[in-house]
Amino acid sequence: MSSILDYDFYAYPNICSGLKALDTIPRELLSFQASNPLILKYQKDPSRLERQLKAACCTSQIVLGPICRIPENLSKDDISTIVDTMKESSVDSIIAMGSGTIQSVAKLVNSLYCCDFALEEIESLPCDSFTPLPHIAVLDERIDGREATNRLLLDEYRLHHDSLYPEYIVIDERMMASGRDKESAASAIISLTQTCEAYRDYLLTPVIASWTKSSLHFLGEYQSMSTKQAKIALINAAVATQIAHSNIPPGPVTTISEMLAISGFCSEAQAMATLLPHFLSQLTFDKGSPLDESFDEIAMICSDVPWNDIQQMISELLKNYERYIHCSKTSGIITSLIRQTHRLMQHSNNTEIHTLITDLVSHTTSQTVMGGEL
Amino acid sequence: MRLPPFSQFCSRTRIISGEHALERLPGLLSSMSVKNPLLLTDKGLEAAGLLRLVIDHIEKGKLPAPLIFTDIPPDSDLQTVNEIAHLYREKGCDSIIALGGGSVIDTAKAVNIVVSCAEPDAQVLDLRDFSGADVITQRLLPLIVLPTTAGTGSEATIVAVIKDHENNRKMLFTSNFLQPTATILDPDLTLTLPPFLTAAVGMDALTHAIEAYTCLGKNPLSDGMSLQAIRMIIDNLEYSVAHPEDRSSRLALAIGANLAGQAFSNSMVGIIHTVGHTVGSICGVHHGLCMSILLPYGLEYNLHKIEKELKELSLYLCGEQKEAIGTIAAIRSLNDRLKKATAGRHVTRLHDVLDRDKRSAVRPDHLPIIAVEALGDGSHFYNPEQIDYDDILYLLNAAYWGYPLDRELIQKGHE
Amino acid sequence: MKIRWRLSPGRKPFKSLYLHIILWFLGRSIQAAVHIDPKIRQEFFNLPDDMTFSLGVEPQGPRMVIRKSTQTGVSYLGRASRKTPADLEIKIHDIEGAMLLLTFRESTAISASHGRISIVGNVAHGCTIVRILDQLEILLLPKCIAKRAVKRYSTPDRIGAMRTRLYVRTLIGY
Repeated sequence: MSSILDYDFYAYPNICSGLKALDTIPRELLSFQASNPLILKYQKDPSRLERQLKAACCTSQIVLGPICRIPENLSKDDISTIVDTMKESSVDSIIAMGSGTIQSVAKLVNSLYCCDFALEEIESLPCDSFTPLPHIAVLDERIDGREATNRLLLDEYRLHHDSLYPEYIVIDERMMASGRDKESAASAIISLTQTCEAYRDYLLTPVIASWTKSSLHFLGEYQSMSTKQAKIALINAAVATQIAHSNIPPGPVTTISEMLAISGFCSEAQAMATLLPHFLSQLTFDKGSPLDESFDEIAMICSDVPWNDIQQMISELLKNYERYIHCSKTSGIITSLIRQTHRLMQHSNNTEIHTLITDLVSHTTSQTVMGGEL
Repeated sequence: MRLPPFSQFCSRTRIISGEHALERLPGLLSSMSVKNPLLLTDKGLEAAGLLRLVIDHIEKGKLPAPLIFTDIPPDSDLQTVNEIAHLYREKGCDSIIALGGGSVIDTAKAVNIVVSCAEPDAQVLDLRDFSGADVITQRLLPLIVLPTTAGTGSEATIVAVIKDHENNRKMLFTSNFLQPTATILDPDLTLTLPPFLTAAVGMDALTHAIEAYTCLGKNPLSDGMSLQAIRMIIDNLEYSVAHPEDRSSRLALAIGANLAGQAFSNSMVGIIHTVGHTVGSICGVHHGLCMSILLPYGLEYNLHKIEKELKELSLYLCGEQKEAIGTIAAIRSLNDRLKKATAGRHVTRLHDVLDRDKRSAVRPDHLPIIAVEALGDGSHFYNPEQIDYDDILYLLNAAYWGYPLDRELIQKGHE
Repeated sequence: MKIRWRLSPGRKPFKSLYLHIILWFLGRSIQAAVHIDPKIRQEFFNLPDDMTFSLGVEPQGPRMVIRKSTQTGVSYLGRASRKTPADLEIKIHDIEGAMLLLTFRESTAISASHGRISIVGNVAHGCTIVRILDQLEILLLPKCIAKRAVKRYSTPDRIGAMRTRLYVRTLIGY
């Protein structure tokens, strides 16, 4: 019989957060004997980030480059160009500046480069037998929930393997930009969803409890302020929860939201914001269900974070989110999935959940494409 | 929560925990493509049958029996490390399995440094070349740790300490690369630990967690680990001491110690370890026992700087919100209960610690020597309050005779 | 997609200049303080003869090297070559960490606990050097700044006179 004391947990990244954290990158590069990093950054991001990274190298004399400025709509050709660039300049590490897509790009090109595979061969990538280049992830507040994990999702490409964990995660306030409140709110919802899913997992192991507890504390800090400090707390929360979340099977809310996002209905955060309250309220209805029991365990293990406080935090964060993003357009479609969600949650077998969700989403997609109302 | 201005957190050892988790060892070895591991342990564990248990599991997995080295002394030293490194090279091993407590694990880490970092054709393999902080600059070979004490947390830390008898000094190695590749926490490995040692190592783990929560390097991630560790240790330590055969509480204790190890590896420890390391090395007192005796005194010494943190910990240590002083009282009372449960072997003051000949291991004339030596222990950087010779001597005298510190007499630094 | 092939390392000329000056000043003041402050003299007495130690920014930044010898006492050796490592090296990992430490916004203890510095060599000697640096900061700096740089500030006897002598000796290099 398995218990909360039986687990297999892996948290690879080294996390560096705070004042002048960006300046620790050259030393970190030297510590794994790298001196020729590939830099990935969003094309639309200010060039001051490059200058700051360049200035950080002043005592190490590391020559940075090549620098690829990733456009918003990345094509397959772009991926191949990056891999060719890596080959041409024999890079020995990757620094990806920004959150979201760019980290998935970094993981993808890292895998392709190290295995010497073309993009078309990605399905047969031998994930268990390659040592990736050290990947430094410099995060900002546009979190997609996969940056610190062993997962990547880029259009139709998906990979899930421990070699994909970034080596070093940097959280520096200089990466934050003003006027990204909308993105921050979305990031908070993604992090909150992952935290709740990890928190309600049937087997809340002590180590997952530690990471999610830290994440909740960080989210509490984010909720009470609206400064760069708050954004640092938010990214810390995201990283902590992603690490916990990458050690459990993905929960129903993240899985459905991911599917909906791929289908182009709405953003992941929009789907999560709509689904999460229902998901959580469901938990209180099913007295005696395995989920209900798992909440008893949570109450026992984490009694210092009262459930009422978490609910309060959730409603505050949702309010904050709604201020920036209107969910009304998509909520009609998503609400109809809630009944199904309830059914999914009764199943503990992950494969089964996955199949059900896939069926559900393909069904939803076909109906919507045809213009029908659910 | 206090968001620190700067923090770093790295804890990259894969943790496999559970009853019969040892059964996963062969699978783990195969997944790492390991073919010829070197198993390190000590004579005591061989006699206790744990070595046999591990080999059985490896053989059950249809893997060849590993090369075994059992001659590891209680204090890991340079000579042994160099000897094992030569053996490793000679036999063409490709990984290390460490079965044991702090000494075996530290020795394994040190051997791993030498065999991974020295040139493959180097004739002389010398660990001394790699001593210091962050000298190691490459990934090391696979190291799997099977901890048998549930206390040291070494299976999760970035530190290794090795004695150099020739130059009479302790070499300290710190690097993120020193974190083992994987660790297996199985109650079968700690079942043979006698109650008084269970109590001592449990208190060692508790000290790690509390110091990690109260010292300067603390950050929210290490705090999460500390709090969880404290809860698991407090809930299971006394039960484990009273019911040594209970596997579930043994496992919970091992997990608590592991979480505490992850916490202190990232936020470091303070005065309790500063003094405890020196008492251990000068008087030969068991490290866990030093920690359990010194824990309340060290907290009293720092009280004016860590009042808020201790108040937060009271929820875990007393079961309800209390003042900081209540947390210290709860630790004293836990020590007293453990003393009772171990028929007096878990002593609560330095005066009562006995050596093998049943004489006092610590004498009053040792105290000034300990105070001087302790000033050279690196952990005092991380203590919230400044420490000088007089402070350590005052603390030692109190811990020796067993009277609480007078808060008025403690020299206080500014806020 | 735009690709830029290389980006040469940048410069932080003002910070670099400040660090050169402050390390030069600290080096010379340690040399002078041995003659002035009994506490620092006593700490040096406990260190082995002919020992060298360095404090500097890694890997190629400014630094200072001090030697204690029986003949010449404590002497400041300037930057000295990195080819021959000092017996004890206090390495500050990056220039920003060095600015925090050497503009006295962060104490040595806080820098160490944030992982901004590392000590390579005998840790016990490292602890002695840190105590020397703390005492030096108390002597050199006004109380309000020194309080940020050390954990416990205690005003030495006749600090005014000692401070004047220390500044004069440091500047004339005697």
